[in-house]
Amino acid sequence: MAYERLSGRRPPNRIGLGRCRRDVELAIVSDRPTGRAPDTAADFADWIGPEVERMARLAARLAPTADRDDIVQEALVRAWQKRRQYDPARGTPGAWLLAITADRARRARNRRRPMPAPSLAVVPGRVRSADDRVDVEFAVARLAPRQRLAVDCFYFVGLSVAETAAVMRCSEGTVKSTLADARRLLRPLLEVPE
Amino acid sequence: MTDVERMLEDAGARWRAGQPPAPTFALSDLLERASGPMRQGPSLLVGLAAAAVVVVLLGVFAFGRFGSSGPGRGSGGSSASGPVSTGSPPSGASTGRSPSASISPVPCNVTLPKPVYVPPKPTLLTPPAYYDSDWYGSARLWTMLDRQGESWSGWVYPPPYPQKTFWWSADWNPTEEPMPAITVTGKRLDRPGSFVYGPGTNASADWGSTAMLVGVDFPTTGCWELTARYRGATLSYVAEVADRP
Repeated sequence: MAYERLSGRRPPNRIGLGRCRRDVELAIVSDRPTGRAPDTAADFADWIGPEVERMARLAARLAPTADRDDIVQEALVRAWQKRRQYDPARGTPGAWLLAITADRARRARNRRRPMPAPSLAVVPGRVRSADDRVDVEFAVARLAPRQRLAVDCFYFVGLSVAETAAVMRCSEGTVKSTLADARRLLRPLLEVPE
Repeated sequence: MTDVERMLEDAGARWRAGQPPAPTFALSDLLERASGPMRQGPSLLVGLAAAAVVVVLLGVFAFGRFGSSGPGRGSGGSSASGPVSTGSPPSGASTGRSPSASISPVPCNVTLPKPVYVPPKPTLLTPPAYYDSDWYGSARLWTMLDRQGESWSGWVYPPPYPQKTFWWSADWNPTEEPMPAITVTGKRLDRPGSFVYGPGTNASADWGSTAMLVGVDFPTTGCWELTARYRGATLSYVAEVADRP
C-alpha cells in the first residue's frame, strides 16, 4: 500500500523554483536524425542503444540506493511499450528516453524497499573522504529538490540544458534559472567568496 | 566560469569517471519478451468499457440467480464456483487486509510475525522512517516488513513476478559466508502453488547492517506464505502478490 501511495505522489511544487508543467512544449534542438520510433524490436534496440549509457548514469544519480540496471531495464521496456507515443517534434529520442528513465528512477527511489546491488560494495557517492567532491555532494544534498535535480542532471549526469528540461518537464529557461539559483545557494555552502 | 561552476564541473566529471560501465542488455531479446499489446488510450478505454459491461452482466446474472433461489447474499452458490482454498491457516498476526476481489477470489489476510523485534547493533533499532516498516522475528532470523503487511504490485513484466526478500541473522557473518545458506519457500494459500529459492546473496543499504538477499519469482498473483530458513531458524509471513498497476 505504501508503495502505491508513494509511487503515485508527484514532487511538490515549490514557488520560485520554476513553473514546470507536464504539458509544456519542449523545443529541443539537436542535429541528431529524428523520426518515429522503430516498430521492430531489433530496430528499436539499435535506435536506443547509444542512449543506454546516459540512461544508466541518470538512474544511478537519481536513485543511488536502487538497482541502476533494473531502472534502465524498466525504462527500456516502458519506452518500447510506449514507442508510438514518441513525437520527434517534441524532442530527441535521447531526451524522451531520459525523461522515461527519470520517471522510473523516481518510482524506484520512492519504493518502500530499495533494491540495492547484491554486493558488499559501498554505494558510490556516499563515501566520506577528504575529497573536494564530497564537499560538493553534501552541499548539493542541501539544495531544494528541483534545484538538486537540475544540478544532478546538468553537472553530474552531463545532460544538456535541453535534456535536463525534458527530465524536469519544464522549459530550458526554467532550467537555466534553476541552475543559477542553485549556484547562488551553493556559493556560501562551498565557502566560495562572492 | 565561476568557482562554483568549476567545482560542480569537476565533481561531476569525477562522479562520471567513477561510474561502472553501462549495463549490457540483450536489447532485442528484452524487448521481444516485453512485447505485448500496445498501450494506447482508445484501446484502454475500449477495454475498460468491455470490462464494465462484463461486470454488470455478471452482477445481473448472479443477483438474479441468488434472488430466485432464496439464500442470502454470499451463501452457497458463490463458494461452489470459486477456487478451493488450501485451508492452511496463516502464521503470525493477521493485519486483516482484504484486497479487491479481482486479484484473488479469496481475501488475502497478510500477516506479520509479531511482536516487533529490536535487533542488535549495527542494525538500526528501527528501519528508517520512510520504509514505514518494522523488524519482525528474532535474533536467529528477522526481516523488515511493512507495518500494514506486505502487498506487492506494480509489476512491469509478465509473470513470473520477481521480488527481493531481505533477511538478517545474528548467526550470519557476511564476510565469512557471502552466499548465505538461506532458503525461502513460498506456498500459495488460495490455490495450489509453491516454490523454493536459495542460497542467498548479500546486500547493503541504509539499514545499518548487511542483509541476506534472496530473490524469488512468484509464478502467479495471489496470497503467498513465505518461509525463510537459516541455520535451524524459521520465519514466516503471508504476503499478497497483486496485479494492480
